[in-house]
Amino acid sequence: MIDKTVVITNPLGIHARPAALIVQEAAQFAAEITLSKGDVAHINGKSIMGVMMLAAENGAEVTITADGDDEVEALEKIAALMQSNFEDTV
Amino acid sequence: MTASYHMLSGISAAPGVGMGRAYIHRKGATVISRRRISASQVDAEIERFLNTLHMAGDDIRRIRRMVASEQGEELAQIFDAQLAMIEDVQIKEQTQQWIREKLYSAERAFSVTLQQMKKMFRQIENEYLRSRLSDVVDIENRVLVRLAGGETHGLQSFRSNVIVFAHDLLPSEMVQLERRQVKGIVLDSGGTTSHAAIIARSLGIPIVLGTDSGSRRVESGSEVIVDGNGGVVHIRPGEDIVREYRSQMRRQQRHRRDLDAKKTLPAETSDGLSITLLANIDLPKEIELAVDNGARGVGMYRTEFLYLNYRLPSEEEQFRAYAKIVEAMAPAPVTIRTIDLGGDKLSHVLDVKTEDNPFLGWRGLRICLDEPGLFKTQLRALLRASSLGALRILLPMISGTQELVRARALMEEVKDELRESGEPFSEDAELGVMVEVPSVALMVDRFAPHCDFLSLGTNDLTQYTLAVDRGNSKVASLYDPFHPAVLQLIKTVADAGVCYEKPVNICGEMAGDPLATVLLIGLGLNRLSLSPGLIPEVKEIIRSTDSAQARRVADACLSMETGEEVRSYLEDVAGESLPYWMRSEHRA
Repeated sequence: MIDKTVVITNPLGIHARPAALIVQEAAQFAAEITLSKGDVAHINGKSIMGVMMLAAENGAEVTITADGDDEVEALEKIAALMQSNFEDTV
Repeated sequence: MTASYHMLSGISAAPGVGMGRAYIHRKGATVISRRRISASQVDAEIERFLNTLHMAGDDIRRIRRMVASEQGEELAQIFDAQLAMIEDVQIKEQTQQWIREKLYSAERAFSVTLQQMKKMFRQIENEYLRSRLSDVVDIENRVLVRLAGGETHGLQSFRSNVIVFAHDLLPSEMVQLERRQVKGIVLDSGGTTSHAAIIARSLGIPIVLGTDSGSRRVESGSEVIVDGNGGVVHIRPGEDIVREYRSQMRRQQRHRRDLDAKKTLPAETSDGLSITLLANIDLPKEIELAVDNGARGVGMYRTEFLYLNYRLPSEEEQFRAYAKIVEAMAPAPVTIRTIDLGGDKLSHVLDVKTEDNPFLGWRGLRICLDEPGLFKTQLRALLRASSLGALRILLPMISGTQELVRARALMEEVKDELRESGEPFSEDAELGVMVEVPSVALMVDRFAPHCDFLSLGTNDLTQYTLAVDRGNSKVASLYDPFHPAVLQLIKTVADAGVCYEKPVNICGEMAGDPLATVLLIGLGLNRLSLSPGLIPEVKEIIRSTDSAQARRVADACLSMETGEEVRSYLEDVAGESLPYWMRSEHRA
C-alpha cells in the first residue's frame, strides 16, 4: 500500500466533471484507490458520489492511497490527474 | 384547494396565453414497501436491482439522445451527471449489501442507500456540488419507479393539452417538455433569469413564475388558463373569462399573421431613420428564430448556459458554440457576452462563498480577472471564432476603466498565444463594455476611448441606480426602468456614443418593451437588442414613429418626476399603436 498527498490546483476544485475523470481513471486499475481530505477519509476513488462528496476545493490537500498489484502506476496516474486542470482551462 | 374559480398571480417570464388541463409534477414520495425477502431470494433480488439500474441508464441515454437531436448537445449534457451517478460503484455495492445482509427488498435497499447519500450531499459546503442533489433525486425516482414495474412517464408523454404545475423544474426536466402538448408552465419558485424561464422562452411556452404555493392550490385535471402576458393563472375559469381569453388568443394569432406579413419590411421610422434590431439569445439554436423574425445580427449571446452543465465547457466546446452562431449570422455581427456568473445567476458553478450582497459581490468580469485561466479559455474560444465572421466581445459588470484595461491586456496576451500557435483569428474583433453600473454611465466619456462599443444593460442598470432587487417582492414595485434617473443615464451614454463615434446597443428587457420603443429612439438609441419573438412587434412601432416627435417625447420624459408618470405619458402618446395586449385595458 502506498500513498501520496497532492494539492488541488484547479481553480474550480474537483467539481462534477473532474470527479468523473478521476473515477474513470481509477477504474482502469485493479488496485483499491482511496482518497482522504482532512477528516473526510476512506473515500472510494472509483465512486463518483464519493469523489464529489470529497468536495476538494482549490488549495485542498488530498491524500491518495493505492493498494494492489498495479498500485505504483495507479498512484502516479491519479496524482498527475488530480494536479491537472482537468481540461477546464485548456 | 378549492373546487371553484380562483386566480394565482406571479411573474410573467415568457409571453403568450395557453389553455389546458392542470398536470401537477411532483417529485419523490414513492411508497417503499418495508417487506423483507427470504435468503433464497437474495440473488434474484440483486439481479432484479442490477437489471433495473441498467434499464434506468438506458432511459436516461434515450432521453439524452432525444434532447440532443431536438435541442442540441449543449442541453443534452445536463444528463451526463445522472449517467455517471447511475453507474456509481458505491451505490451498487451499498444497495447489494443491504439486500444480502438485511434481506431488504431492492426498493428499500436502494432507497436507504440514497437516503445516506443525500444526507451526505446536504452537508457539502460547496454550493455547486450540493446543487447536484437534484440529480440524485432524479435518478432515485427513476430507479424506484422502474423497480415498481412502471416506466417513468416524465414530461414528454402527454396525450392532450396540459399546463404543467411544479414547485420548480430542473433544466433536465424543462428540456423534456413536449412542446406540442405543453401549453403553459406555472412554477411556485423562480426568477425571470432562472433557467426554467430561459428555456421556456426559447421553446415559446408561456410561463408564470413565483406563484408561491400555486402547485398546491390546483387539482390535477382542472381547466387552467396561463396568461404569460399579465403574469396570472386562472384556475377553473368561468365562461366569461374563457370567452375573453379565446378572443384574445384569436386576436393574438391574427396580430401575429399581420406582423408575419410585414416581416421583410425594414425597421425604419416614418421619416426614414434606420434602426438596427438585434437578437438576445441564450442558446445557439435560437439563431433560426432570430433570423426568421428579422434580426440583423445578435446583440447579445449570453454564455452562461454553457456553464450550467455539471462541468465547465472546454475551449473546443465553447469554440463550437460560438462558431455556430458567428457562421450562421455572418456577415451580420454577433455580440457575445463573456460569462456573467454570480448574483442571482450561476454562482454555484464557481466556488463562491455565500455573500451578504451577491449583486454587489464577486461576479461577472470581477471573477474573470481573478481567474485569468478561466477567462483566457473563453477569450481563446471567442477569438478563434472571430475568424469566421463579425464577432464582438462584451464584458459584463465593469465599474472602473482599470478593469477594462486589464481585460484588454489579457485579450492581447491571448492574441499573442494564438499568433504563436498559428491559430487564425480576426484582428478586428471588437471589445465592448456593458453599461450596467451607474459609474460607467457617469464616466462614459472616459470609457468610450478605451472600448469599441457600449451596450446598455438596463435591467441591472435599473437595479443598481435605484438600489432595488427586483427579485425581492417587498421592494420589486420600486424597480422601474422608466425612472427618470435611469433615463438620464441612458441619455448620457447615447450622447457619448455620438460624440466618440462608438456604437451603443441597448440589450435589457426595456429594448423589447413596445412601450419604451419611441422613448429609446428619442433618447438617441438606434441599435436595440431584444428577444427574437418581440422583434416584429417593436419593428411595427418603429415604422409608425417619427424621429423628431420621438425626441420631443424623450425630452418630456426626462423632465418628469416618477417612472409612473413616464409610463402613463408614453401610453397616452402611443395609444392605438401599442400592441393590443399592452393597452391599459388589457394590462393586469
